[in-house]
Amino acid sequence: MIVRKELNYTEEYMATVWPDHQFSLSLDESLVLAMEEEGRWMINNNLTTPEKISDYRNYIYMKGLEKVKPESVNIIRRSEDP
Amino acid sequence: MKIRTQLMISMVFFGVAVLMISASVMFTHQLVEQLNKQEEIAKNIELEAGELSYLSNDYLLYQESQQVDRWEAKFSTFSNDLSNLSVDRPDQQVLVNNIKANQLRLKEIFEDVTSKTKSESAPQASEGKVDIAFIQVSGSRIGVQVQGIVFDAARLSQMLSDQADQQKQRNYLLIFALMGAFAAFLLSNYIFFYRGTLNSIANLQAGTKAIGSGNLDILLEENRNDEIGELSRAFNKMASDLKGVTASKTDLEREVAVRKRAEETLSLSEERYRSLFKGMTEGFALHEILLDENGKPYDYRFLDINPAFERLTGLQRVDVVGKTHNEVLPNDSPRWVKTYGAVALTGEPIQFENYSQALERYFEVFTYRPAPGQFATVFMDITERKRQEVKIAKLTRLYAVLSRANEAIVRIRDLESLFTEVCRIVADVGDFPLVWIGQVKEQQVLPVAWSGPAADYLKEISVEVQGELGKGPTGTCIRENRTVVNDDFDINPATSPWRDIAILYGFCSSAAFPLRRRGMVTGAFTLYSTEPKAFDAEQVGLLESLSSDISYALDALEQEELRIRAEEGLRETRDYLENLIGYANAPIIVWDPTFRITRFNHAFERLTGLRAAEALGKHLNILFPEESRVASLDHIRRALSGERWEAVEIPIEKTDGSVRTVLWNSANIYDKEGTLISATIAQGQDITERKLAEENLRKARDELEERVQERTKELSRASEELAARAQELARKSEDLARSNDELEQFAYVASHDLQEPLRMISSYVQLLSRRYSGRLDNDADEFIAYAVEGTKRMQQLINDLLAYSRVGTRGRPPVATDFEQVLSEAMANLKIAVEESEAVVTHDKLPTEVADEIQMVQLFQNLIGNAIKFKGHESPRIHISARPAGDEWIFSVQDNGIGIDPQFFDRIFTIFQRLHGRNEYPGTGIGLTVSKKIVERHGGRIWLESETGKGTTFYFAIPLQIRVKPNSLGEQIEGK
Repeated sequence: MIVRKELNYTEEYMATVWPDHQFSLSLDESLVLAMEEEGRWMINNNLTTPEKISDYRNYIYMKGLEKVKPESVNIIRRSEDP
Repeated sequence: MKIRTQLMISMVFFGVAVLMISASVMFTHQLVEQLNKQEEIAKNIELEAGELSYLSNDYLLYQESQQVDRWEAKFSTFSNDLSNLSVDRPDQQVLVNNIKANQLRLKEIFEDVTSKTKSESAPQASEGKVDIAFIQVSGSRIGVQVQGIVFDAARLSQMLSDQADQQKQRNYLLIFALMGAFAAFLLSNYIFFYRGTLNSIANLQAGTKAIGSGNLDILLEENRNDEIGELSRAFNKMASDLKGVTASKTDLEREVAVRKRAEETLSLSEERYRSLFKGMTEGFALHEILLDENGKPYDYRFLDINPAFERLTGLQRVDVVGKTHNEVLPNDSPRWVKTYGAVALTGEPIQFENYSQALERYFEVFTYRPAPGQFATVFMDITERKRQEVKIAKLTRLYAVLSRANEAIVRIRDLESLFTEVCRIVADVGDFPLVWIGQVKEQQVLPVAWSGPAADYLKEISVEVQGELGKGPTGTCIRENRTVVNDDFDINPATSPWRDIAILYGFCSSAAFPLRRRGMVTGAFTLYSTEPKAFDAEQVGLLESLSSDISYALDALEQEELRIRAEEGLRETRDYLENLIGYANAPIIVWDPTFRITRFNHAFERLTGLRAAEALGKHLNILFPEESRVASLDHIRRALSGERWEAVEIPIEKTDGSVRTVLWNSANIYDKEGTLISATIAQGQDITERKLAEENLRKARDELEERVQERTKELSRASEELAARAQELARKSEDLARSNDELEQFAYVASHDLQEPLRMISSYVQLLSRRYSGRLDNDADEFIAYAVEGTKRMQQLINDLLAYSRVGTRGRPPVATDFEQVLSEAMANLKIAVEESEAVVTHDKLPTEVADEIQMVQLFQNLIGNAIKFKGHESPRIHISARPAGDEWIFSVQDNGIGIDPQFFDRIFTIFQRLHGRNEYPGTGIGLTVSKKIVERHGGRIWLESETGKGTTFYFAIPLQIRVKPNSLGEQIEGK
């Protein structure tokens, strides 16, 4: 219902395409890499003041998903992390 | 070996086999698990090596601390996995060693890179970045190490997988072996144990059944050493013991067979007798005789009876067996006890017929003594036979009665004697105690004849047709005209008035039969019997025949009497008729077929002057005058041929020679068969005087008729003349109408066609006037002025003529027209004239009527225009009104003008007629002519009233076709 309203699809269309979708939840390393890429791009284009990108892992909360679905967390932890 | 031992060995063997196989399966399973785990580690190492490669590249690209951190974290995981890898085969160990060596080199290279990038000696790019060549070389070095690790880890993973598969196959083999062992165990158990045991049990079962059926010679095999063998031995011992203590089966069977045969024989014999006892049609009873203290029989007791006994006597077995005769049939004759007692005591059998009062039946009985003190009876019901015998005897007697009574009926011609004789015959021959015949007289049935030993009964009773004494058999029989049978005086309520006396005379039943004369009941024939129900259907039928015969005799005797009376009556009638004809006032004559006069009454004597004696036997000719004799005889012949005379005139000659005119009516008298004429009777009326009067009357009528005819002819002539005149008038009228039409047409065409040349003349004369006026002499100017004036007048005349002819030819069909509207249109056309003359025009309310609106406007315009034109010294005052009168509307236009002298009233409606000079009053004199024509076209008329100097009123009337209330026209309206 939410998706249909957001994308302005008809009910019949949704009924046709919805069963073809598979949804999965994960915290992947690619997420960190993408954020780093964006960070670098911002620095290079002077869109931000810091000269170095942050360690984005500090901002990702992984324990919750790890507890319910540990195989979905693929972010490489820091060596000092437990 | 015992079954228990066998079972235990099998179980142990089977258990050991299962344990061994299970242990092997578990071991193999663990090994496979271990291998799977190592394989998974090897795959992880492969993956992690790849990740380390990409992390290295990442670092080489950006040289940030995060990449180093991540690389080290991943390397740490990688190292852990590698340390957990444990293989036992040498080829696998080689691969592990390779991986470890590559791991160390990878670590070194990466550390070398990091240290170089961090140190100042590192080759720097111009903008403070690491040198690309260094990065590429380092990347290649790391790539080589990672490739080596990945390759070895992949190989190791494949090896471990293959090894695990081998172990799994081994495991499957073991499981199949376990299943095979179990199947072999079941099969061997069945072959070596169950089959033998089950067979032995089946043998034991069969042996037990044999012993159960009495066969003790059975012996089972005892060669087994197990529990079955023990059982077989015990079974054989039991059979042997049983044999010792029981009689042989053969003896037993023999004895049973003998007894069975004896029982069957007995049963058969008993069944036969029982069947005979039950099936016999004769009643059978076994009794014991009961004796008193003196040894005399006083009663007997029923010991047994058969079903026929029940059927014949109607008594039930339960009510009879064990009871005595007095208990069962208390009202029966004691003679039975005496008779049966003799048989029981003496043993002498007897056979006899007897009647049982109690059962109301006849029996033929045979009695004998089956044992001392007992007797048996065999009997048949002969009641029906007995009754038939009695009935036949009665019927025989009745036939004799019928025969002798009929003989008496034929023989005796006297009614009283006949009745007495019939009663006597029926009573004597039919053996009835009383027979009587009663006749109805004043609602009472009086005995007229009777016979029988109980005849005195009649002296003590009375019978009537109606009322209480009419309800008995005789009364009912007469009243309802039917046979009535009284079966029993005792129980028939209808016989209550006579019951006591009847019983006193020994009567039990009676029957009454109706006696009829000409179908009507006149009496009854009643019989009595000493037996109840003595009259059955057959007897009643015979006695009804007898009553019918008596009725017939009554009719026959009565007819004889009637015949004698009729003959007497006929004689009297004949004498009366003779006198009637003889002394009748009218002349009557009768003649036979040969025209001989057979009867000639006194009136005829007076008519002819002949004596009857002179005329009788003579030919009819003597009556007629010579000249009409032939015609008269011809009339008579026609009468004889069957034609009836009705009022025929035949002249008769008197003895004195005078002739009288007589009007005759006659009729033929036919013989018995109605085919031949036996005589002709004629009755005459002297009409001589009447004929004379009629002749005079006829002459007077003829005269009158002649005069009427003459007058009619005259009238007819006058009528024809009138018709001719009317026809001529019609023709003339038609001619006139045609001529009028033609004239109108002519006028129209003429005036229309005249206009063209006239217009030309007018144009040129006017041209002449304009161009040459003043240029010629005075006379010429004057002549031209006359010519111009003449053409103008001529044009005016032609226009007027055209207007006049158009009234007839160009009129429109009349429609409902509002005359108010008509007047206002006319006033509009006359507006200038009205204004100039200062005329005052007023009008009443005008109606709506069927008319040609345009012509009506013209009509009003002409009349009002005239009123304005011919004004007096004063200003014109004109008033228009309308009123209904009969079947028409009368309109009037009244003015105060110069008026018209009455002598000119006719002229003014003539075309182009003028009463005044053109200079005085202009105009051609067409207006009133047109007005008259318009009014006449509407089927109306126009006239005027006028007085010179005072004014004129023109009236015109048109037919009233739309009905209106006259009141609605009272209003005065003024207009100017």
